[in-house]
Amino acid sequence: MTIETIILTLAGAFLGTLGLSFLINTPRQIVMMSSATGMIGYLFYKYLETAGHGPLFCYFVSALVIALACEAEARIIKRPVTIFLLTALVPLVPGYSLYWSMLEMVRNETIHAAEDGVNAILAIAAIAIGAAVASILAKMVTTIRKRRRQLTPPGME
Amino acid sequence: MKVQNQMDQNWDEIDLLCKAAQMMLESGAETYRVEETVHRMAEGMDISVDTVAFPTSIFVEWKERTKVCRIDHRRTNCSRIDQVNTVSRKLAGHLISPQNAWEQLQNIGEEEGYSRGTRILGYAMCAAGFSLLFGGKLNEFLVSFLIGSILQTLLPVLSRFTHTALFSNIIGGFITATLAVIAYKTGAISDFSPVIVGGIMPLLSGLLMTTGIRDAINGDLISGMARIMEAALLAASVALGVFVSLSLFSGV
Repeated sequence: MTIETIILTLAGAFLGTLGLSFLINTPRQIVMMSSATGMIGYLFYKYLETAGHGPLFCYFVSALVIALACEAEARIIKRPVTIFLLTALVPLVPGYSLYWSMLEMVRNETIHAAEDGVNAILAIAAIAIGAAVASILAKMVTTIRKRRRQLTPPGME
Repeated sequence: MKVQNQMDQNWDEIDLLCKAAQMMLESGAETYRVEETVHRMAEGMDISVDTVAFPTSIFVEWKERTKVCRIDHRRTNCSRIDQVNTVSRKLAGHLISPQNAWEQLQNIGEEEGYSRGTRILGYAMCAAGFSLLFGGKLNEFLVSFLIGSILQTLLPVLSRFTHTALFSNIIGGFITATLAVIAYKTGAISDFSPVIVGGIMPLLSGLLMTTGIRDAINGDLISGMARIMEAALLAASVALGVFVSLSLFSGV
């Protein structure tokens, strides 16, 4: 990646996420944090894509990383993780293929529409699965910690 | 609003649970999170309830009474999710009484949070930012910024007349594409696709689809399908607006 692409990607992802967080009314305290998460996550996605990995892998891994970061942030600041995810995952959404698919559908180019549509839906599914895996992992960590806390103090009973 | 005022005076636990669930669903929370919140709040009041939530409706059952709430319009609002969640946590921890919880829920209300100017700036930044991600350069960035601010100025006025998101999406797509084509014809930008995609990104609600799939993964199959359907409809309506404009003005 050239320096120019990196700067453009960072600026675009940050502005896009920040702007959208005003529209979906993200609480002020976490706006900057989740925009930064979204920005770095998108740069990571772009890096994976340039490194030549398949698109679904890129979406899955970067969504997983972003969602893990969101889970950590949500636990630190004690806010529901949904509001972090709704903001930080935004740059990953494959708007371009969704747009093309719909446009081709209304243009009657069904085959192209199906191709782009399936790609978009698979990408969205990969993002969602990444987020779901992250939440399962986070829940596992919480359960393990709880159990340890219950086990550690001897002589409490 | 009348119904709400009547309910202010006499309400019971089931109304409180329903209200909280309704507010969360209206703000775009996942259904499993809503059900979890209802159970948590019920535990805080030492009662045991049963609940089923869908994106369009919520059922709460307690002592052989069932309350049904219809969710009419859904719009992502993170701040509301956060506030309802805070109230539910406090109630679950016995930090506040149900009466306090009810009053706090009433106070959350419909507030927008950010001012109109900030929202316009937000739409403009969002459109401009995404046009960069989809291959735009400085010119496309500036044009998207302009289009975004025009759209966010017009759309709230439009939604005063109709609550249907489909209609405002069609108009939004149409305006975006028309302005982008005009900018392209005057030579201000070299490609109108990034500008259009940036401009419609806030309307597309691709995240709704992600929420739908996460719902489905969690076992709420009906909620998942409903959300995916909604997201597909919204995307199709945006595309329709774009298509009408492109075929009128640029001859696709």
